[in-house]
Amino acid sequence: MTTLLIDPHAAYPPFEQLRRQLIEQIVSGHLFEGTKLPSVRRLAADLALAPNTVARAYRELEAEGYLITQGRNGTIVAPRTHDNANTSEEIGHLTANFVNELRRRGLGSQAILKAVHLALAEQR
Amino acid sequence: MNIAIWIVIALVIFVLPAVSLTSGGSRAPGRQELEKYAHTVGLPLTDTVAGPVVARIRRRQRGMMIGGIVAIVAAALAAMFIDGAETLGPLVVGIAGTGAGFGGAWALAAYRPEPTSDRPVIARVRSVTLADYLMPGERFALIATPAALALGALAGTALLWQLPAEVRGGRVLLGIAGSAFALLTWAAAIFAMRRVLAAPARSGSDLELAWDDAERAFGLRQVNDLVTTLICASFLVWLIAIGYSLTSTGFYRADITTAYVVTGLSLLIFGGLSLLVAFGPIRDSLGKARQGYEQRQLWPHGVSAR
Repeated sequence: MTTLLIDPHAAYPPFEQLRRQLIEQIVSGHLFEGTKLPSVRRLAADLALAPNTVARAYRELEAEGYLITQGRNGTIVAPRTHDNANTSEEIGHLTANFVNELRRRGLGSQAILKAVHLALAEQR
Repeated sequence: MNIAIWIVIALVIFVLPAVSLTSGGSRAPGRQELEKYAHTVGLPLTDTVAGPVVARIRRRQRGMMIGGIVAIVAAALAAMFIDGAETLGPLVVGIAGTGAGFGGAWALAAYRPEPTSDRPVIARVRSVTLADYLMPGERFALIATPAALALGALAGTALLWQLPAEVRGGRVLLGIAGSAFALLTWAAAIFAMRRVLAAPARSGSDLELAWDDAERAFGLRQVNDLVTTLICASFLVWLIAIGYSLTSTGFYRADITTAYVVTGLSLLIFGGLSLLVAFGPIRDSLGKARQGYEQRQLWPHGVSAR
């Protein structure tokens, strides 16, 4: 995937959709280290979002270590540290185990997603 | 030649053929014309994306039409005021092409989509650069232009300076004015290209975004090609200035050796500089590599036809 999709009718607000997709693309390696992201204004106009929404997503991802802002040079994907790489590998491993276990119990993809959504909603 | 003839030539050669698909943005093209256009672009044209794609083509071609006409009027007025359109008439033809190119770029850069959308929208996750749309040869021409113009101005001045003052007249100034105009056009082109790259691309699908890329590449390429043409025309101005100085006063008969040396060197220098600037774009346009270049750069895994 090389694009971001924002659906105004999705269960999550646009900010969360943007944040999650950016993390997913960085963790999966689709967005590799040093890749320059679009400017806040450009991405906001492309996705029909307020510039503040995109700026907030960039800021949060920067605070979480996924992105680096270099002033006038824009925002780039941060290098993956050893810890980050281990964490994403571990998350992938845990998720695969979780999905396998639920499948073994006869749940389909939709049912698994629903269960995850419910669990996340309960923790909010 | 009458200025009206130059205006007709400018319209027929540069402006009207470039906007024929939509008659300058005034009408939507027919299905057959569209499919032919899609074939040249190398992208599928589904019913879902046909509407937004046609809107983009019309917007760009309307910009080209307006830019071309504004340039023709401005150049014709300038030609009439300067010399009654006697010798500067051809200026109208050259400026018309440049105006059409800039008009198309302006239409792309000035587009502002609605701030909100009630349908799903997509965006590219990385920023784009000129390298995504223009091939290396085309980009080299753009980078080499200031140096080539400076070298041309220096060489042209030095060559004309070999001739007596009464022979060269005020033609050094004419040559420098041509180079300065070309340099200004180049600077304007760089500015326009940056604006085009920064302009938003509101799209509902990957295919629509790929079409946006194609339109953007077309607009950028047109500005680049026309600027390259104008740079070469500025070298031609130097050659004409030198040639006119040598022949109009009969100097070529008075000092054959100097005339031969100046002629040979000017052909060598300005021919070489023209080649330096134009070789890349010409090579890239002759092969098939230019077609779909932006798709290969921006969609390395292909575009889904949804």
